[in-house]
Amino acid sequence: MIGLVALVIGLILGLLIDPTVPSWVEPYLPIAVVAALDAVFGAVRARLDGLFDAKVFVVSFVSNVLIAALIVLLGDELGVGSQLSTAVVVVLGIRIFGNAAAIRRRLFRA
Amino acid sequence: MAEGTRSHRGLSGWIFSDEIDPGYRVAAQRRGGAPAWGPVQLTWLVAGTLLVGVLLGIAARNAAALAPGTHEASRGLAAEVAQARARTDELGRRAEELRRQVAAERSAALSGDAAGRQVLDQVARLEMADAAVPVTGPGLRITIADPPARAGSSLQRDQTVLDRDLQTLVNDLWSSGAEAIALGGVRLHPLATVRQAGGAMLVDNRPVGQPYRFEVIGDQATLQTNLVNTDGYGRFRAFQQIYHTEFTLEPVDQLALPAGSAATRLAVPAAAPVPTTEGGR
Repeated sequence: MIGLVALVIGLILGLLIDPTVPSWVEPYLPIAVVAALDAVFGAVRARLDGLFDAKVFVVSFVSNVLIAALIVLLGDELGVGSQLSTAVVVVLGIRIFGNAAAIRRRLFRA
Repeated sequence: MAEGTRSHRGLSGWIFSDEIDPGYRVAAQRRGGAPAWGPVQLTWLVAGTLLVGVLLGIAARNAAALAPGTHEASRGLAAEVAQARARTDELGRRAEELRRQVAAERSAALSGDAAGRQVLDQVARLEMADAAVPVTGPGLRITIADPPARAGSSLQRDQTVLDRDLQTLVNDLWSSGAEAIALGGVRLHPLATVRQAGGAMLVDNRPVGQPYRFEVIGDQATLQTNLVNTDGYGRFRAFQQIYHTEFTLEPVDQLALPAGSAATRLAVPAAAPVPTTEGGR
């Protein structure tokens, strides 16, 4: 509950402060969002399983975002940026689906 | 080999398994199965969710700001194109006006005596050959269009008509007795080109869209009889049968063709006293 409230506050903050995103960060923003979603779904699932640990959540979120951004950065430097971002999105997308399916099974027993 | 199979199973297993992130399990084991609670946990939770929220908010803001930007850029470009086009039209009108003025001055200056009238006659003949004046008269209208694209193609139409086909038809029209030709509303003068640049057809360097519409002034009966026997006509009839290219030919009683924009110059052989031939090609 507290987590949800903090999430909404953060969302409003992000919308309100309207920071100018440097142009070099822009390509990593979508990847960071996907990585964040992966961490959030993992956290919700862990919460439902009674295994939630806030520290694991924060660390997994930060490292997910950083590693995803690093991989894409490396890909950009090697000239395969778009392929590597596709790879990151595919892997994280599959994980999000898996976690979402587990959450669904737990919530609806289906 | 066993090592390889295992690592392979490990990767796909990690991706496709429904296992929870191992970090949570390890942390739970370290706590001895008790649920995580306490002020430290709460701080981590609030900090993490705040961070996620801010990131999502920034991303949403950024995406919203980015979309109208590209939209605006394309709209700006379109406006620029429209403006340039309007200016071209206006300059064309002004050139036309000035040309009429020159013609009026010329006939006023030259129509006084026989020699002058002869020069005027010659000028009129050359202007006609050079497509420098608008013309009207009976003739043919030929419509050519690529067939609609087959299912699954990303193009709107299948490309069956190439520039060299249109070039052949233009040449055949001239040899069939055409006096003036316009393709897609662009008058063909002696130096006009028909060529393809990517998907676009350029007639005298102006883009012409589908369907390609030929307007040909000349004697209708002669044109039709002669044209049927030409290579270009046969080619398009064959295209029609094989590729379902649109190719229609209809007589029109009154056609009005605009002037072309040729920059031809009259070349006169030094030895010849009076040039009688028409402008050089």
